[in-house]
Amino acid sequence: MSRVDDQEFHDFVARRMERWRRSAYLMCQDWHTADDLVSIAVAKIYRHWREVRQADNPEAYAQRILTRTWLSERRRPWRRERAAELLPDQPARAPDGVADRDSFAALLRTLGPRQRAVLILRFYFDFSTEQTAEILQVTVGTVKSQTARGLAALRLDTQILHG
Amino acid sequence: MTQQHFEELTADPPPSTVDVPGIVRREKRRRTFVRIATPAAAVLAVASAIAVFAPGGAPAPVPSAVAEPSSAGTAAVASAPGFRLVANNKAAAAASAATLRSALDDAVHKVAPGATWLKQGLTKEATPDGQPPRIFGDDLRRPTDQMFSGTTGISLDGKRGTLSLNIISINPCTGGKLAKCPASHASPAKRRETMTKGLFACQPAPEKCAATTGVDGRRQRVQTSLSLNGFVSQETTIELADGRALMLTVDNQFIAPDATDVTDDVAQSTTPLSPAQVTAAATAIGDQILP
Repeated sequence: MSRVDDQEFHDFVARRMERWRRSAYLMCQDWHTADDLVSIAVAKIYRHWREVRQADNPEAYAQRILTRTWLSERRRPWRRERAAELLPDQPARAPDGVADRDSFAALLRTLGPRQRAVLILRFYFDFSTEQTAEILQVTVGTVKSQTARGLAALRLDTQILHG
Repeated sequence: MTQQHFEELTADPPPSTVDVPGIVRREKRRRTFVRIATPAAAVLAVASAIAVFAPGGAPAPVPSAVAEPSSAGTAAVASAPGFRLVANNKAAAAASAATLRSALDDAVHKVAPGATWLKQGLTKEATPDGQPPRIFGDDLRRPTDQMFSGTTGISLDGKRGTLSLNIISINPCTGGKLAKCPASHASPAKRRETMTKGLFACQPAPEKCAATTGVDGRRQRVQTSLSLNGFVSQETTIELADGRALMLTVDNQFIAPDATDVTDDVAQSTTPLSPAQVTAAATAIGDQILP
């Protein structure tokens, strides 16, 4: 990598670092793990910097690397969610609104990793259905169905969705 | 649900522990020397292939036959009488490369009889399944400046990865196509010193590394490199009798030829060949290369 490429890489990473950390945190809900995921993704982006910078949408390409890092890291033994004898306390019913931050975090944790990723990409990053499908390497139909199921799991209706 | 809900959830992030300069340093170290010739090798593929298969091409003037190694097992491979790696012209380069390729094939199968070669990567020049890597050589005047390089996939006991063989000149500024001259304006002596240190001295932790000197005074380094995303590389570098270095590397990265996601390329947590196997194969090849 030339010095110019190197500088370009550092600028690219610096501009997006906080956003990547936040999206990683939303996926894993732990800041230490989030920083681990971002570190791994940054290393991958560095390795594939030519592909990233030549991509039609480098932003989406980098987000794809981060999201897939999260999905594949979850398969590793030391990252796996562990079975517990007792389930953690659950709210009796989900709140009608999502005003409460802790409740929202708890609800998000109840989703599967892909559903969580779909909702984060769609509603936090504002990626289109097509872009989300490209990032997750799934079909548009899968994104739509995962979005619907994710929202249903959160017991949110379209009224809440739109504000 | 709005973007604001997500923003609120991440409202108070702790200070970042992502060490971008450290990541870049590790990745650069990983790349250094191991992949020194890989990008140029792709460019050379067509030229060298023409040299290998050209009708009426001059027979190889230098290499002699590679003898059959005599013992099986992973600890050691018997040395063969030897051959010279010379690439004064394209025909000699092709012949030397072919001999080196054959020696690599023999050595790897001697230390790991079940190993199979795999087509790897997305380039048109990728070596087909079942064939050892094509080796490409520089055609420079001074034999000790001539470099050789080859890379392909390897599989053993269900583990996949990439094997790279590089013959590296201690003079990094040979002007050859496989050479990589640093941007600094250091003196030739300083450049040689830097290159020698980079090849035979151990890097700081967390790399596992042992730098030794053989009974014949030649240096050797056996190193395990790790990277954040599960990448592992076993690398053995041996000083050759003619002053050049032979570096044999096996890692756990594998990009299938039909891969759609080149970023998810760590095949499993360990490399197909162990450090002892990599070292045994490297030693077996290195011992055959005459000054």
